[in-house]
Amino acid sequence: MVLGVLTGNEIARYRRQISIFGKNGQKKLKKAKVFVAGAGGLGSVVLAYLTAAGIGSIRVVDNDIVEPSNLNRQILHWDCDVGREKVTSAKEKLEKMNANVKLEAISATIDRDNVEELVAGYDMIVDAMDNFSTRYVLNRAALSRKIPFFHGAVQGFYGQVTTIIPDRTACLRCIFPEAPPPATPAVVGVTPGVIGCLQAGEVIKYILGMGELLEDRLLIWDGLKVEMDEIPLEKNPHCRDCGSQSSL
Amino acid sequence: MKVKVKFFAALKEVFGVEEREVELGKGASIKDLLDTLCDSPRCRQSVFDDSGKLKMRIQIMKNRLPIQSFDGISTRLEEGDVISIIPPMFAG
Repeated sequence: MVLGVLTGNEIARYRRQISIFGKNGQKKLKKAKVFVAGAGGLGSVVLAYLTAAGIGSIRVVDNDIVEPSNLNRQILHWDCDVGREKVTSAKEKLEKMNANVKLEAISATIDRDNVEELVAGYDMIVDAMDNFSTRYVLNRAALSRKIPFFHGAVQGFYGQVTTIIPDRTACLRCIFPEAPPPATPAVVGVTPGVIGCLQAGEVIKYILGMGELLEDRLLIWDGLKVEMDEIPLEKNPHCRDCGSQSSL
Repeated sequence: MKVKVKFFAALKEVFGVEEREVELGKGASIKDLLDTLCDSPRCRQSVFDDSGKLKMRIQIMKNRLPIQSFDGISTRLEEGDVISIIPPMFAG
């Protein structure tokens, strides 16, 4: 794969989107390096659409093994994958989907000690995690590296999305100062489908510099009423992660 | 003093409305607002735990910031405030 040069195969493959943003736009996607935290419900969708779009390099990190209870929503994992590492299962499908994309799969638990090393060299972080403690670790890593952080979370038929740009928008901790207590989530498979697509769309728009991002806006999806609502946000000057007292 | 309250996701169904205006006395707090809003056991159980404390799972925003940025449940309200009440979403 030669960065910044589109092959004839790639031009044919991406023709329907090159007609929107041109070969230069497609080259921007090819040069992009995206870190995806999680290969579950949101991760499956984010990874599939970023791979199909022709992102140049994707690193996915997840520590989990595929279980039968994942299969209603984690669409990169199939019956035959139960018992396998999620990242291995995901990488296998994505490489078959689009061999032009450089995919790196790491089976690991993201924590404060390894996050800097894991995200080093990547242009942005996509939050496809299932817990807020890891989200806060990723939020701080994005702030310290000054790279965008694309947050998504789901519950039942509902989901939320926002795009965090360091120094410009509210960070995750500005919006959610405290993590909700852990619980076993109930999720209908289509919900991460909607939210993961919105996250992937934000990533693509950010790379291309097109449209308006979900900056300082928390979008809330109501799948039962088929409604999207928004809450306007602002940076909290006293935020412990991005405020003036932050150690970053 | 009037404030606007917006309910999101599953709380729309619990409270039966997407948004409403509430009239409160001067100096009223978020706690006063919630006591006014929770006029049924179902509403109360969705917001408060058994000991009467705000559930950690509920996120409340005063205008553009979470109430933890002010005085939490004791945060004073002002005329025209928009209060957003959001149930937790954390799965991935």
